[in-house]
Amino acid sequence: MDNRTYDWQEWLNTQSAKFDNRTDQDMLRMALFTNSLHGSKDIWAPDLTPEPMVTHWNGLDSEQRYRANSNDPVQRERLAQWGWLDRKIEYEINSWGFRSAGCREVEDIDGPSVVTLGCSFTYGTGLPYESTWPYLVSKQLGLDLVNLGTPGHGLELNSHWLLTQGHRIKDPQFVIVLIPPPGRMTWIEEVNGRLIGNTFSMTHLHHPGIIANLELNAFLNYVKNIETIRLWAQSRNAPLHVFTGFAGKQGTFGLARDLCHNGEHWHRLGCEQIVQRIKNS
Amino acid sequence: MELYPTPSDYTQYLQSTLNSHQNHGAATAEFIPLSHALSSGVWFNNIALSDIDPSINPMPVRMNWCGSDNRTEYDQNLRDPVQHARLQQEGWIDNPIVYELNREGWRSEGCREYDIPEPSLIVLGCSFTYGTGLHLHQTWGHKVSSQLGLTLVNLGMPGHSLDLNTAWLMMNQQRIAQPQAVIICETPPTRISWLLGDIALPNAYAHTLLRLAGAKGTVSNYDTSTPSWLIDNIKLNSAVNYYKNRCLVEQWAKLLGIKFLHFNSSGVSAKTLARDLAHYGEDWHSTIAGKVLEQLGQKENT
Repeated sequence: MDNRTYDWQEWLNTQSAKFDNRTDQDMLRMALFTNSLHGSKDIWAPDLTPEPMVTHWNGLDSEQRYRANSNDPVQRERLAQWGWLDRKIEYEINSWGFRSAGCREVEDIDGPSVVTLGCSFTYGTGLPYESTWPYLVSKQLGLDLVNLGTPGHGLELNSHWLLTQGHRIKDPQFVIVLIPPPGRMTWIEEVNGRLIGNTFSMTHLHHPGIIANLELNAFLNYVKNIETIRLWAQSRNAPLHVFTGFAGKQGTFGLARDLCHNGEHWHRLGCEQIVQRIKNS
Repeated sequence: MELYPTPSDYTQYLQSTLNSHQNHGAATAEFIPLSHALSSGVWFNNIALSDIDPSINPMPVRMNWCGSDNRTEYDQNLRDPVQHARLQQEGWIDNPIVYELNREGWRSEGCREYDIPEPSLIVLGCSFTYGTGLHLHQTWGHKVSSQLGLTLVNLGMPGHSLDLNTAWLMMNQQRIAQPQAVIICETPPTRISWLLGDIALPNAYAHTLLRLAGAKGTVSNYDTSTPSWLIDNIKLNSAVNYYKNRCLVEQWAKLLGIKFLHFNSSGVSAKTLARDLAHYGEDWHSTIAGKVLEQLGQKENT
């Protein structure tokens, strides 16, 4: 029987020592950073440290998947149709794992900016940075961009970042949220000293009561996370616009390089609708 | 158009998103509206082990027992000479407690619903805030609010941390018209709330992941059959959750321009015990109330 008693402060100190005296900030950074490297780098590599880097693959847009699609005649035709054959994509990420032109850190963005939150549809998995709706919106509005899109997740990690690290954003003008698909809840896992930003569905928490109620609990968290974002936006006098999707005709959106995510046309549509709503408000 | 959507606005946003994803597996959220699931989860948690029939639907209730302060354990203590003597010493023989809960499960004087137009004090925490084993007037929240002449909004939730009460506060903030201060009494680690719904039943129940994951024992002691990696990761995620919940409440208070306090009670000792002989007694609550009032800049008089 484990007879340890857990005092909160004592426990925090213990954990801090266990994670090499890392703080909440460090833990959040590692969770976000490793999540952003899925499909491109070995997130278990012992020398992996959160620092700005350029990768060429992300999540479903992995080299392995691309090769498999290239070798399948039907999928190869689709890759050709959407212009992805032999086309390189650069994912420039900063030390938080956020996609950012030139791998710029958020605090190095001096000008007025638009802040975007969402999942891979905001991050731009399978697309060049310049094709994503956050980039297009920022250009239309003549603003810098702080893209907090977090592939595979809901709004937990990036709203947490906004709440605790949002002071790094110097001059936010608008905050735009594209709500991720339902049922996503972040679960940070520590394995062999490495913190991984996972989601519940990828963990070993397979209790039927957990699986069956994932959507309900994720829904509750979404409400809380959006409230987190709303309060932050209000504190910085930046109007918030929340989108659950973009209107358009299915089948006309095109496909990203992973042949899973929506393509460039969808992002252009999204940009038009966001800019229109901002103008109308 | 509103510059900042209200919680009900984006609840609608999210509900419509969920409705458009009906084939995504579990459909509980579509059958149980979120606000109902939340209040139902709180209510059933807060009547646990009481004398209320758990098969009824949530409603305002008055009950004589609750959680660790339950009839079975009390009777056992009465039969044990040592524990009987402690109960006598603490004044818990023939001293009935009435827990008044509103329809959302919060402990509330007169079972009053939390639609509070007058100036109020909001407190969040676990059973030490709820007041398990104590009369409401003996709890730190009540002492502070009485001293300040404010109505108490007690969002203490036994066995849980800040997940559900923070969610309730964010979703229902407009119902508390004039909060003057919000205070969090730190809760023990490892607690991550999890709502259990069942599409065949109208109600949801609140559990913690630790229990669902199969951990047995108390907060302090875990059965060795529970994998240590699971315990460690629950602790890790509960810490991350806790920090975020705390910061969210603090941010909310800051925007409203009201006072915010978060305190850890680890240095406060107790000489007396609550009726369950497990929670601290009234002297601990008086000390806490004194410290809170001091930090709020009020003269101690509890």
